[in-house]
Amino acid sequence: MIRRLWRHRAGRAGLALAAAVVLLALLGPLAWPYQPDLPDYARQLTPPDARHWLGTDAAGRDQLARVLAGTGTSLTAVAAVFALTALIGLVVGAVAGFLGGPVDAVVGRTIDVLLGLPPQITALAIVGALGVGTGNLVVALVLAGWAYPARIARAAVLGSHRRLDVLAARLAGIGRWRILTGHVLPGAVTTVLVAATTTAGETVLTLAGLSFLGLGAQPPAAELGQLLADSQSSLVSSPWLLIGPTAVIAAMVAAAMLTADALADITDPAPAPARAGRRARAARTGGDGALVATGLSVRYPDGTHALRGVDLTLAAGTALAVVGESGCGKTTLARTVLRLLPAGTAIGGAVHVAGRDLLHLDRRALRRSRGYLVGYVAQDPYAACDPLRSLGHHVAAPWRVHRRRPPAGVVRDRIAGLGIDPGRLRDRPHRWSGGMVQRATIAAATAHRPAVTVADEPTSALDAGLAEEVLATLRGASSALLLVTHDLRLAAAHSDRVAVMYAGRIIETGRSGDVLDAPRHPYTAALLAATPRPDGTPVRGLPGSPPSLRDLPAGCPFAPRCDRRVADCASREPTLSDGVACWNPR
Amino acid sequence: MTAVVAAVGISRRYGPVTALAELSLAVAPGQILGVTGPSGVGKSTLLRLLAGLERPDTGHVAYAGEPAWAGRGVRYPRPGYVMPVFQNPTASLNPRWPIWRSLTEPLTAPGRERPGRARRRHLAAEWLARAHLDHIDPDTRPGALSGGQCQRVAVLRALVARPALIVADEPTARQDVITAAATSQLIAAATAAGTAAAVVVSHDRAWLAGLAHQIVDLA
Amino acid sequence: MGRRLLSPARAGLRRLGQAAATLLAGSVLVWALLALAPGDPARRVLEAGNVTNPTAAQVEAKRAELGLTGGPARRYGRWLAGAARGDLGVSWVTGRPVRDELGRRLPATLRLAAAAVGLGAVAALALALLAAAAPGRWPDTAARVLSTGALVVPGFVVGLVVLHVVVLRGADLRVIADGRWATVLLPAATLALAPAAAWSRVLRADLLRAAGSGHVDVARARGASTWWALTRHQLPHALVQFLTVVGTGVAALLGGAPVVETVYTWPGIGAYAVAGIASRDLPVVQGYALLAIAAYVAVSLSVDLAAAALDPRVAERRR
Repeated sequence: MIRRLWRHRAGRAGLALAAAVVLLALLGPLAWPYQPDLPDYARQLTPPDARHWLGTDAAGRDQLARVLAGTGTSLTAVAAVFALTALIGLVVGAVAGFLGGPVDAVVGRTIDVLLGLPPQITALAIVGALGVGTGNLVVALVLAGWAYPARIARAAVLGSHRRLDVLAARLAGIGRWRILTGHVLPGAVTTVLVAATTTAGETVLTLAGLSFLGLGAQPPAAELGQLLADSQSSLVSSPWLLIGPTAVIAAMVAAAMLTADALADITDPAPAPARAGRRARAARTGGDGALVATGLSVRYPDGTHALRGVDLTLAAGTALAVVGESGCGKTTLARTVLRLLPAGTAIGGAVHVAGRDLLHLDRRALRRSRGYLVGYVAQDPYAACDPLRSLGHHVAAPWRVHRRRPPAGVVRDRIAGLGIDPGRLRDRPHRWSGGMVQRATIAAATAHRPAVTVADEPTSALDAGLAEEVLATLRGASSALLLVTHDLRLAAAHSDRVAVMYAGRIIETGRSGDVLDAPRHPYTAALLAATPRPDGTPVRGLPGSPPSLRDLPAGCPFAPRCDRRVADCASREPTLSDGVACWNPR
Repeated sequence: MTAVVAAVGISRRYGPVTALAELSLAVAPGQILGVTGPSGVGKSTLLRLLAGLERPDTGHVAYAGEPAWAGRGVRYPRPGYVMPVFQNPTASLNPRWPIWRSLTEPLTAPGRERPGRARRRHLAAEWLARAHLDHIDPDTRPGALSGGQCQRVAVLRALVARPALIVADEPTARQDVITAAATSQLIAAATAAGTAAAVVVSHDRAWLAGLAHQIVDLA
Repeated sequence: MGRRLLSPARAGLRRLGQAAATLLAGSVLVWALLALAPGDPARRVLEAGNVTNPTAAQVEAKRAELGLTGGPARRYGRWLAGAARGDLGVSWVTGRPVRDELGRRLPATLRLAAAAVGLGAVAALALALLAAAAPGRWPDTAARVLSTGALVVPGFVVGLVVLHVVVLRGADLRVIADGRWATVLLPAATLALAPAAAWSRVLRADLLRAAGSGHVDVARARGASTWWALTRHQLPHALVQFLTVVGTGVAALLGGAPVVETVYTWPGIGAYAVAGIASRDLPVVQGYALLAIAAYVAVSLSVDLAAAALDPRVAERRR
């Protein structure tokens, strides 16, 4: 855990800051010659100089010595609050979740109620009753703060009943206790630590605030918040007294925040947003056809080389299906044509749509061209619609986003033409069937009759029967269609030409019927064998997995899975010639 | 021959919603039963009832002729009698564990051989090789694998338990055709020996037709 | 589909019941403070009334008068009944009813809190929109640096710097903080600083999360500008969550109010409560805590109900 934190940028900064503060508190008082509580009335309120780096306070005590001592007090208190809240929270939450029944009901209610109270006020009130002092402050903060980690721990344990890996373990006959220790607790401990770290920064600030109010450490003991309070009366003349305590408090809060951010990052594997970057220079060549891509290559910021030189032509009025396994680059191809790649992606080559150089449109021109040059039909129709807005809004959106009014009656006509009941346009998407919503998104995508419609797996979220209808609708509404799918049979039935992709390249292309009847590349043949037929012939799988696109070995990337391997395959990568990229085609 | 699993008149309601109306079926060893139908007809509920993950409101489920819900909880003839394959392969493997640990977890159940760590890694590598996945390092964590690879590991995990019944809930819904084909081959091979039976839910009728001996349409 | 669905009315009632339970639990906690505190309350009240050496009979009489006789349940019941009528006891220091002391100072705190919530929400909204419009570019970085600074430095230090270094050094005679609207800006801005920074971070993250959803891709593919997508598609989704975060943020404001009021000598109930703690005036602390808890519970209740009303998916999913 610590090692993974160290590898994370924010995590390393957080750990380093925390270590620095701890070292300061431990070694500082030993190394610094002045006593924190020894007044020297001859040297009151001196500004920082070579002897007193942070100056002296109203009693002539060395401010740095007081800050070092105060850091120790504050750090101990924060560490105690952190450890106690995390421990109590984990134990109470996990035990309640594990036992279930009435115990859990009572604990769960208690946690809910406590979380409904403002923590700082609760802490303040408890200190008010117990009396001032650092120890009482710690007790108050723990009493006010344990409920949050407890809720997290309880949720982790309770939620585990529905976790799929836990269900599988249960069915395999693994006992409750071993499921708890093996599957549930390791995750719960991590989430509780993340939660406790997230609140640690707040603890530092609350502690400083309450000490500032005089509710914490009592003089002559030093504490950071109390140092700030002490300096209050002489601030107009000696503002530098603020520097030391503030810097240490800020460092402690920053350490907690950075570590918490990093912990959340490394425990949540969702990819980080890409950073802005530059785009590779692209060759300028014109083209006929609705869509012409030449030498297209795409490399993501993480090094994945998703497209490695793709040439394709989509003639106006036709449909081209791009087919392949997950990770072959087909979705990247679609998103390149849509210019929806994450920032920082390096793009080479050229894409021309209706003769316009798509990759060199500036932001403004790109925005204006969108919906007119390229239309987009996404995979999941529900995800493609803003759930807060009606279906009618989505059909009219192509005009509205360009700040135009939809021509009178056009929306209604298009809707009716797609077999949608115009009377229900005010209903939100989730009240419609998937097929209907997908038809509406097709209507929206093709509203301006774009030169090319790009559809990425437009039917994989729909039932098989609907897929045929929706594809026919899509085909009819598009002037030229780029259909991306993994289903070769479906693709061939709804396109004029097929391009099969593997490891970021097109490895076979041809007329749909020809490819379907007589695949020439071994991979195309394997893809066909794996695709279910309506007659129920058993499907045949393909051993192995596609290669990683980060560092491809030399030779044909398909060779390790290929049953027609020849000597050349290991050394040289074949290029597309006569519609197939293979040293030993069928 | 005794049915691996038999269900008589089972139904299940969630509050006011009837998830599954009365249904009866039996699956014999070596059989693969396909279940299909539009979403919301209770395909997944049926699987959960057959797997003993939920108790039916009415009717009975029996494993190898013995009632599943005799006492307070569900009773299986032995650990790993029923093993699941889920729709979401990544979530069905513990994200913190290397895959050898998930893969061989069924072997550590009470009454099984409980092999040591080195032996478990070795067995995992063997199972991976058997499924043509020898290029996957058993020390990898699920996060570093593709969804298709995770799904094949999840199927293997079910097979490692030597189950009498495999229940698979939309195992190919998010997979490409290659993974789907590999999944059906693994299930078919496991049942071909005659020791295991399978109930497979899918909305992909064509794929199901190539795998199942019989298909129930819950329309 | 395993979850049971609630009708909107039942969900609302349920939330109302939850708020009532929290309030009740809060009252138990506040009442129990008396048991935690060392010393005899009756003696303290008598001393506050200038009876320095009370006789045992006097103490006994006072105890009966304060309702400190009988079992814990009866004592709590009497206390709660009193609190519900607004009777929060008498201050152990001044001997005057706590209700009057708090009531006199409450308007100043309400002004401060309202101004702080308003300032903070507007600042957070502006900062987050700016950052989310160009993630990774300089406005985003600037917003991040600004919000980090506001989060790591205690708000009262900023207050101290503003007050002592900038305003007091400026040396022109004017009223800095008297509890009225005219002087609320500085303390409110100080109080709002950290919460606003936290809110803007949450809102930015939610805006960017919404940007990653399919329908924003589709809108962009249709030619929607960044600003259009941000305001029409991302903001509506993030707004409900923002509202909730601001609602819970009221807790931070309430917690920060005593400190900021003390720094600026703002004549509100927070500063009064702090003085009460220092002088071990427990009824004042109890009254303040009860008031703050009630305010917090009321705010989070209204925020939750408003969020349910604003998000049509919540309402429609329940049908």
